[in-house]
Amino acid sequence: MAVNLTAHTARAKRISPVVILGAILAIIVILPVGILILTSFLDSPPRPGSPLGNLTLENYRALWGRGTANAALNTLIASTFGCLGALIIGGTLAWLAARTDTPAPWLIHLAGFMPLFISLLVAALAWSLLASPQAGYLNTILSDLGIDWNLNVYSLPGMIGIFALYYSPYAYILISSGLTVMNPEMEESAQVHGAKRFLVLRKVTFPLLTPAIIAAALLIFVLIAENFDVVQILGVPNGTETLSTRIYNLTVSYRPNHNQAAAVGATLMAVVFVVVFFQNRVLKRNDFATVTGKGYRPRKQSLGKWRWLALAGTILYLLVAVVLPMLALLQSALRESQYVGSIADMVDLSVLTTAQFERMLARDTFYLGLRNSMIVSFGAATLGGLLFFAIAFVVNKTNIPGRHLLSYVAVMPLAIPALVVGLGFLWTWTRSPIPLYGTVFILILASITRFLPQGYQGMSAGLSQIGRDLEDSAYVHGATRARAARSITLPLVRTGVGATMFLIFILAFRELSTTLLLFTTKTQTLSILIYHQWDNGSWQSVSCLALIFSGVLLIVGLLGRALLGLGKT
Amino acid sequence: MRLRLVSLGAALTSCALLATACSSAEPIDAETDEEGRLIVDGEVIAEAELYEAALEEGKVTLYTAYLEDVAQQFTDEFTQQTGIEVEFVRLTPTQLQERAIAEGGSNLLGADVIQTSDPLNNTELVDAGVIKCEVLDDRLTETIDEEYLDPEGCAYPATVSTMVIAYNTTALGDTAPPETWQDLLKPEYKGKIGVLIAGVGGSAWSNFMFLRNEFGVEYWEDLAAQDVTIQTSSANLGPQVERGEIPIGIVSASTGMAAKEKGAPVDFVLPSDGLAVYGTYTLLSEPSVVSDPHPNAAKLFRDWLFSKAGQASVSAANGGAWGVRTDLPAPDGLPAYSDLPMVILDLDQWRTVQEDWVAEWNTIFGYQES
Repeated sequence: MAVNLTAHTARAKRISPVVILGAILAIIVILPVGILILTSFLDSPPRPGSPLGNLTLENYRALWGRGTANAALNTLIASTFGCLGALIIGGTLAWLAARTDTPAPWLIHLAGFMPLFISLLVAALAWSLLASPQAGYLNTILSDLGIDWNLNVYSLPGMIGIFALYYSPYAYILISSGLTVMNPEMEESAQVHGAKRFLVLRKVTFPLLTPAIIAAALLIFVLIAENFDVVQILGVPNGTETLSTRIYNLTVSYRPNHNQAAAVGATLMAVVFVVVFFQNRVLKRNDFATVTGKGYRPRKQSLGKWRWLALAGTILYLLVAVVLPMLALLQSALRESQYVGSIADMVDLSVLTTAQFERMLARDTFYLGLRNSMIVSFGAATLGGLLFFAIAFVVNKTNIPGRHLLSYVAVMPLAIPALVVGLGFLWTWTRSPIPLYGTVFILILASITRFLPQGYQGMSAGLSQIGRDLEDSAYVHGATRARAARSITLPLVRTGVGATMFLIFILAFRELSTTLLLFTTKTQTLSILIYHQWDNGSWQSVSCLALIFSGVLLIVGLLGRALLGLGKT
Repeated sequence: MRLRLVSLGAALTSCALLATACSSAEPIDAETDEEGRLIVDGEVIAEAELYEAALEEGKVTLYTAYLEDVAQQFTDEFTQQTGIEVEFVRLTPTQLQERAIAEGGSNLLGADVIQTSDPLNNTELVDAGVIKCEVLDDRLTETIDEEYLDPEGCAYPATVSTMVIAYNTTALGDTAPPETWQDLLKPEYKGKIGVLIAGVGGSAWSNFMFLRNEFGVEYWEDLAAQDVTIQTSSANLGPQVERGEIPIGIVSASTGMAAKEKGAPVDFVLPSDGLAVYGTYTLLSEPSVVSDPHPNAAKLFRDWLFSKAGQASVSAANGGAWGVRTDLPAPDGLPAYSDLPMVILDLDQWRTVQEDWVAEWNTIFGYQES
């Protein structure tokens, strides 16, 4: 497969892109992560100005215990089933939108994306409002209607459901990227030879999508394993424990033990490396390239009457994942007292008031937060997007030695839970000779680092679909790698790139845990505002802000689609 | 197309800037007497020299563990009464601790004044060299309850509070609400109580430490046998009681009061068999480790916190908290401090037993077995 690139390599000696990217990654990823790994072997946190502690293996020894095993089991169950659910939902939606004639593909696209606007904390809160066994809105309605059904979201199945619903956008975006770039020639030729629809799916489409599916699975699995908000709100009250609550106990609680938390993070990272190793093996062994120099036009499969069922399913999903929680937040945002005893209470206009919205929108801190959130998100999406694309391109589309190292570094931040990664940043950047600490730029940088895995996987998913012959022919004609990337590859993966950048925008907008340790009065973001109201115990304010928050994201999303054609297949 | 996005971004930014520029601030109402001393409600807050120097500095930066809205309220009042701006960052005590020490270690500390809620944290901050210990002026220390005086001047609590038993009257229905800690062990409350983990911070910890000191570890075991629901944060437990999801909760006095004031069917009781006190402490940063120090404004801010006006402001903003001066009226909705069975915990005991007792608590209540 390797085309002779002597014309290319004979050019003036340039610094290898791997070295340049490696240097960047060394500063933004390896330094903070390195400090955390060091921390796991010390007995005190490595703060600047404090003496370095003593080396010890105690933090790792402390990981072994019956309680940890129990927590690990719950984590495994939640992650596996949550991941499966998310892949099924996201993958199905992606396939429906890109490959079938289901009506209203824009609606399917919305369903694929929209749950992303709801952070897991807000989702857990909204579902708490909806389905807590005693006071949940749905349960109140059910009992008022005389139906003897009780929903309890405070359970492992409840949490798995939430994970599947709200992590499915990752699957949707990554699998979509793969699908829109994928050459349908092979599916069509299978159909021509008489294969039925599902056989085509199973034997052709699915296997060709392996890179995207694996990338999505890796991301979703690890993110669920680390997720703390959902377990804190929905799991702890009924005694369900996961590894993330253990980490919480170690970092956020009263007498934090950062060293042990770092040990947990380092262990998780080792596990993730193993998975990435296998991911790379699978991708190297098989050729998933379907986009070649020959032209093609994707053709939609006809579903016949099933397409109405598909549409109905999509609408149902949208209702459950987005509309219901939003309604719950609205109910909560409109009432001072959160007590709701019956359906009558819910529509009692004498109690419902928009006063809290008015109060929130009158505050300076709100606009400051909005501005900062916008700046951080745009910065992370654009600067970060550039970096992620460059890394994905070098790893997937070149033969430069050492490039696989980049892929390992790119996933490092994934494995370290956000609660811990923030510490790494704090300890690194307070020591940095460059005075970035306390500025908004440090928040951008932290977001770029934090979402490097998502950005890298997102960009990679589309890139591996494209055959080498396109760029190779450009090289043969004298183009540099950069030129080939810009003129050949980028336009082909534009949709995937745009979708990934949008994903990063939303994630950076929602980001909280890392910025909590880095923000100042002037650089507060909207999510920190929400967090403060959450800490206040003021669910009404949180609901208010969360609704405004989602509204802003929706506007940006629609604008992105209108102006940049994001998400148009 | 990209231009359009940029112009949108610019539009949004200018909206935001405009909004911040046209903010409606409270009119400044700072009074001085003929000698130039700062006076609030007839009380001298600062001598002329200090006041002038503080005004020159213009602002004071603050890291605070008081809730965001609470801090906003009393800092606004401070600005209104003195003309000095306050820039504050709200952090939980754990986050605050980490940031203060890490930043202080690089001389990048972003706060002139620190407010945090754990005496052990205070010690750690002092040991890290981040705090300037300076005793308050006599005219202030004379009025403060001597239990709360720090002979070294490193940390004084501006407000103190306690945990209460809050309950949702509708969710309880016909069952009479509990009135004492011992009442919580009665069979009619089984499965109805929510508690915070002992490892969650000064408030929950001090309450459980007191209960064990007073009634022995058997109390913990009996309470755990009541099938209590465990919550990791007050941000969860308070609203759950408010909604009626959990009928009874051991929460801070301010949480109980806030729920009641919002019109929820919530009431609370201050148990007569003892109330453990915990404080929110104010400390001055060592100016040499602060990145942009305002030492005079900081001193003035702290002095204001312990003046009558300051004390009234902070305890009213917080709700459910008492000031530490002995010449204050009872806060709204609460009995006077002196009328209550307040119990001050022994710091040395706290320091010695905490780690082991939290581990024991976790085992007894089945939280995070190791």
